[in-house]
Amino acid sequence: MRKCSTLKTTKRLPLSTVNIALAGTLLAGAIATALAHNWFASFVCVAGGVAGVGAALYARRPSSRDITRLNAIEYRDERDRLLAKQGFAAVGAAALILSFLEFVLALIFNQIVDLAAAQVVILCIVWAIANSIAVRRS
Amino acid sequence: MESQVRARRQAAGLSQAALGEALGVSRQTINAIETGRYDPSLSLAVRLARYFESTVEEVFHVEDH
Repeated sequence: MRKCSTLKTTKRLPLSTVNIALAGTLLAGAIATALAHNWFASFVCVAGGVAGVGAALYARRPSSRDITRLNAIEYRDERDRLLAKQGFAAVGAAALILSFLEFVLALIFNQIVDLAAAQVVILCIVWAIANSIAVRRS
Repeated sequence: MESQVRARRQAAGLSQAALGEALGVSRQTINAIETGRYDPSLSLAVRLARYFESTVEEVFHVEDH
């Protein structure tokens, strides 16, 4: 056994790139809605961002479970990324169907914000279930 | 795929977590490789073999088809 000198030591970001983008999006949303005096929407954005960053930092612990890392989008290695692909495949299929449904319902009821919010919630649920199934099967 | 990873790790007195940390992968990935539930990429297989100062063929056993 030897120390593997061929391994590269690279500095990791404090969060994954995806989580940085999501947190940035929610922060921008919080600022924009606060400027429009929509305090509830601003609170939702801030709460979502804090919860997301907290979950990502929790998933970065060395002893974290694989399902925790998958749900927080904090992949540690190639196996995590492989399992994540299986979860996102289910999300993609669900998103395609839900997008058509949302489009039709938006035409009928003209309530795009509520429908978009419902779609995000449903996709997150599908994603969590798909991640759980992928980890159990692996 | 069968492998010698568990035997070599135990011979070296390493935990799964310690080996995973040395190779930059999770403890669960080492466990999945040892139990044959996950076939590592060529890159990870080579890194594992090099870590144990061995070759890929000596650490991993692939049957001929």
